Amino acid sequence: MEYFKRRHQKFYHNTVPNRLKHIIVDSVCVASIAGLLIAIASMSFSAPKTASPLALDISLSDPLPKGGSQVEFSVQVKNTTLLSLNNLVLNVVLPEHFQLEMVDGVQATLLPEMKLDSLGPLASKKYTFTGAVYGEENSEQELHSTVEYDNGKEERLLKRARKTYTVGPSALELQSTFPSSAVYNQIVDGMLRIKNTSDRAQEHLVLSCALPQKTTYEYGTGITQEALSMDPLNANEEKNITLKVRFHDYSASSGTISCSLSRKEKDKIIAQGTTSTTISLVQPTVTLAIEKAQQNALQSGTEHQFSLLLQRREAVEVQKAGVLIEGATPERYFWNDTNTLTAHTLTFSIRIPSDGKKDAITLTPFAAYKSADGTPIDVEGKRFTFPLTTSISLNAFARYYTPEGDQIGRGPLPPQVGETTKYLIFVQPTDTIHTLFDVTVRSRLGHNVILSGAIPLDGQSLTSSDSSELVWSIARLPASTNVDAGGMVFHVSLTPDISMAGIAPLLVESLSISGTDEVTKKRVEYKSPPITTDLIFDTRASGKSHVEKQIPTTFDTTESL
Amino acid sequence: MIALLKITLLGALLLALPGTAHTLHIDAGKSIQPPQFIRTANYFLRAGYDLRREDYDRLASFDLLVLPMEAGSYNTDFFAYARSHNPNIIILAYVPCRSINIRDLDDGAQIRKRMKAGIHPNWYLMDSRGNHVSAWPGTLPINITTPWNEYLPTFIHEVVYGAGLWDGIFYDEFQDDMTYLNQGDVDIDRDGSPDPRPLHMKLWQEGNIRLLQKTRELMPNAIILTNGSSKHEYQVYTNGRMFENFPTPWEGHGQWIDTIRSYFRLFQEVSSPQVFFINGTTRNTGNYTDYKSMRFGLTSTLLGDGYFGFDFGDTNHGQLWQYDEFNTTLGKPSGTAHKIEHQQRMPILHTSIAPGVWMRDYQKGAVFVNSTSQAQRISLDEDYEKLRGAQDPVHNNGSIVSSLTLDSQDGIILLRPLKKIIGAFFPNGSFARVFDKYGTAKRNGFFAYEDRFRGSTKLMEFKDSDGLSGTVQVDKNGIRILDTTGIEKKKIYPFGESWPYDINIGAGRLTNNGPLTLAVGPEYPTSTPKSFRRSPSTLKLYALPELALIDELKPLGATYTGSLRVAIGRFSKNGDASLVVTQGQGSLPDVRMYTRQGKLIGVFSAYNKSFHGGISIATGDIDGNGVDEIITGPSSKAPAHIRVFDAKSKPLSPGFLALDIANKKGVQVAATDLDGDGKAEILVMTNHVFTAVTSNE
Repeated sequence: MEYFKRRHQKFYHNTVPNRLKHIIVDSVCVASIAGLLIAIASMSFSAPKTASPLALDISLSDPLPKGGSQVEFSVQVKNTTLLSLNNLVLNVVLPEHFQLEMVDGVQATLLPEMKLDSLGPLASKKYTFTGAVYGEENSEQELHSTVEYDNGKEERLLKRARKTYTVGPSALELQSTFPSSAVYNQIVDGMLRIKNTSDRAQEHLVLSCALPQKTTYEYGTGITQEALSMDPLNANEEKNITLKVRFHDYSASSGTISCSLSRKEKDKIIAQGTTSTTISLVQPTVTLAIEKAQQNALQSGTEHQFSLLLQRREAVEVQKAGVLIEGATPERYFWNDTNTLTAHTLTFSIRIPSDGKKDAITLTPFAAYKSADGTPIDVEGKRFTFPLTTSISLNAFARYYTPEGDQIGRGPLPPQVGETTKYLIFVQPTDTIHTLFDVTVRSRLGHNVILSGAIPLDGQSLTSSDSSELVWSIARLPASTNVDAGGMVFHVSLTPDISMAGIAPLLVESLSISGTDEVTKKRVEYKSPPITTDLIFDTRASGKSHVEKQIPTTFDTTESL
Repeated sequence: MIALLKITLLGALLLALPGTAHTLHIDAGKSIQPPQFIRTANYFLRAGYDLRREDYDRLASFDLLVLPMEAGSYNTDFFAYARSHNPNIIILAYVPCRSINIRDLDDGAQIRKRMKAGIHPNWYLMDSRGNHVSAWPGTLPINITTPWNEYLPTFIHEVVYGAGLWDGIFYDEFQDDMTYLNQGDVDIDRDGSPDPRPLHMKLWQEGNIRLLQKTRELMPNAIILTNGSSKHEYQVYTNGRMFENFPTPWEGHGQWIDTIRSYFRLFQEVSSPQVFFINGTTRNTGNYTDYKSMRFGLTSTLLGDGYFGFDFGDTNHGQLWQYDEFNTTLGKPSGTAHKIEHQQRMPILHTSIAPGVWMRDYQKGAVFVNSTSQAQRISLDEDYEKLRGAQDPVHNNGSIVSSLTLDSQDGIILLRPLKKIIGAFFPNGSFARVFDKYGTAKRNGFFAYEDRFRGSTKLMEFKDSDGLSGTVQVDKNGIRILDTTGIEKKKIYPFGESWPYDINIGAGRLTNNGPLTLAVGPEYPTSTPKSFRRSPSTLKLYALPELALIDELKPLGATYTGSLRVAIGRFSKNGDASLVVTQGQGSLPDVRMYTRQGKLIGVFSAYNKSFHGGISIATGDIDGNGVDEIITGPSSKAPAHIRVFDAKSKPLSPGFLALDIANKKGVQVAATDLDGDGKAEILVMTNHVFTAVTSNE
């Protein structure tokens, strides 16, 4: 009361008439006292229903953080009351694409328990979370927090807060520079520029490039494998990396190289930059091929002459050419004399090792020339492989008709139970590059199948024939991939029993060939798939493979006159 | 009478002997060649303008013709033409034996007019009221019991047969009686009343016999056929009969069994040579594509040794219809017909002739007839090849079968599949395709091989008219002759024992009566250096069987050192043979013809001059005219384009592709008569069997 008196005294004394002064003062005093009482009463009855005693705020150091950049979140809890608040529990849910690095300046990868216990009147507590933001550019991320508290009436209440932000562009930039067109088999020089656009270092970087089919990384490139682990990039640092490739797919008119630079943390991509370049492919002006000078076999311990063929589609100067050799000596031939390189054909000799360890030699030609506009171009020819030991396979099939329609089989088609159908079996060795001697062809016929004749072809003889196995001997089988080199033709007769009705039975159960390579003296062999009555090459017999039950016969030669 | 009685008694005695061909008049002037089947016939009742010059060829292709007797006047040139093209043809004059055609009596031939002039009015067939009896329009029936039965044979002998154009007489209207005419009112004894049937028949048949007797007496060497009675008493005077409208409706009950029984029986009763004509018809429908009816008649005929023809019907005989089956050569029959019962062959003597499935074997095939009323499935005792027919390709589809289903009242001709090549060289184990001169695949292709010889070796099996037979083998550097048992009889080395290359060979006769000769030349691989070759390249001629060297020729001169490929061909009917020579791979595609002495006759290019793959050469009479043609095929680096040339190098066609066009491995050609039809087939052979069976379909 006196306070109010004194405070208003000046006012009271200077302006208000005395009588009224008394009334005013008295009224003011009474109102003040009432107000105070009311305030005290309301404090006694302060309830959550209307206002939280806590304030919960989230702030972000950068509302548009770049993907991969470091940001700082702050979560502050403030007691806005004059009373202490106890048993407070703070929960923070970090954004999905946020890699936590520190909490309050202390390294942390996981959120610690944030138990506030109590907060005094008007006191506040702040937590700071530092980490890397990632995710797709323009994606929205959210951090939210809750704090639980007691309301003094044995109730737990919750205060929430949330903060969203948008992920900005990646902190990693990746750009590529390649020529717009390239020549098949030419070494294509490219450059990748990587840059960290953020203000903090980017670590755990992986650079990878996906190449089209039949495209290879080349020697001398900064990238020697599909995925390359990179050193960290400091803030705003950039680097250049060379990439050399070679396109081999002559059927393609273009090739696309797609690269990505990624920052990975525990299999999460924190930041990524990508680039893609499409290069048109053109035939090289200079194409390379290798020919063997003579038809004789490549024998161990012998020397053989080859030719490197340089074919020019335009008048260009070849500056160098060479052949990489694997499996023989020398390991490489190289020409750089421009006079020599004017020739169409460059001859060279190689020596096959005597140890017989290699099964093949590989020759890879290469050359370099300048295009019309002076651009240096490297090209590489197809790899030529010359086997030192022959392969062998069998071309084996059955027929009932020839392609011209002559019937070479006999009996019902499709086969019938109890009736005999004859097929002609053709067996021919193929894919031999060397002469073979001491060749044996073995065949086991199917169930209910017998040999019913062999047609004599040049060079082979049926040396054994019993119910279990047929054996042909060929003293010498000339090397040839020609379909008429050697072979056997024989008749088989199938008489199906009732158990074979409805199926396409085996005519030849097994067929194999073995022989000794005359050059390498190695024994080679091959097993052919079985042959059934499904005559896959005989279109006239198509659909007539499955055994039928015999067509019932009606036979009545008598009738009454 | 007594003489007649003697003859009759003698005839009766002969008739009593079972299985005997009864012949009163043996050794008829027209000898039938050893039977080769199929034998075709044509009942062609057209003459004058209706027998056109452009039809001569087709008409002459039949083995038996019945032509109107007027053809001897109107179409005289046909007879010479026919006999020159078909020396074995039988041409019979059609003579109605109991009527005269009175239409166009004033025709150019004047035969009927002259005949009519000699007919006594009393000879005509009258009814009981003395009126002429009518049969066919435009004809006057004649009473065969009158002296007509002597007048007619005499007239025919003097006016028709006497011209020397005919092989015999065909008596139409030869019936046992006339009681079917005029509702039975026929008065053959002129007593003014219809004859009782027994009397009528007795008198009429006696008149028939008299007619035949007189005919045989006047024309002992003529072939006499009737149409048609199967009465036993007539047969001894005839050589056979025609069964018209098969199965003949008026034969027995008109069933198949009735005609066939008579067909088989009469064959034993007539005089030699037996000539039977089964005339199938469309029953006057004109449906010439009734192939089933045609086959039924043809195959039934082939159960015996008769001739078969197919025409419109009894209202119109005069077509030139040809059928695929007619061109088939079955060769000689291998026995008599058999009935198949329960899949077993039943000899004819042990079963009565009854409806069923019948068959007969021939040298080159078999015929089957189903005379039942149901389709029948027949299991064959060996593989047979169906004909390749364009008219009924479903029935004649060229397939090789071991069983078949035959429709009711149908028949089929089957051939034995080809397995061997005789009379031409072939590479052992090669696949051979068979073509006619038009390039049509004539038979199913086959692998030609002899087990006892190695693959690819050149072989020729020969059987010639001198009785010489065996095998010629080109065995690496030499030539061997082996007998039929495989024993080597002779071996020579034409170019020396050290000859490392291949040998080309051809065979033929250099003169009409000369020995079978081999012509041999060298074959160098393309890569052979000139220094390795023998200079000059020589063609050597060796005569079988001793392989005696008869000549050495240098057809391309003293400096030529390349390959020589050779064939021997006869390009004129009476002259000596010529040598046909080509070079090997790497040379121009030229064909050179030389006399037997090596003098160049001519050169022509078989293919475009840019082709240097080498030519395979062969000769053979592929059209049966007695003169060879030249057949060529590329031996490498080109599709199998086969060409045929005559002796004057004129191509007979653009040629044909023998294998798939993608197959460019080359072929070898040959020509030989595989089926015995008198024409050589073109054989195209490939050793590249894997290419042959894997080329594009």
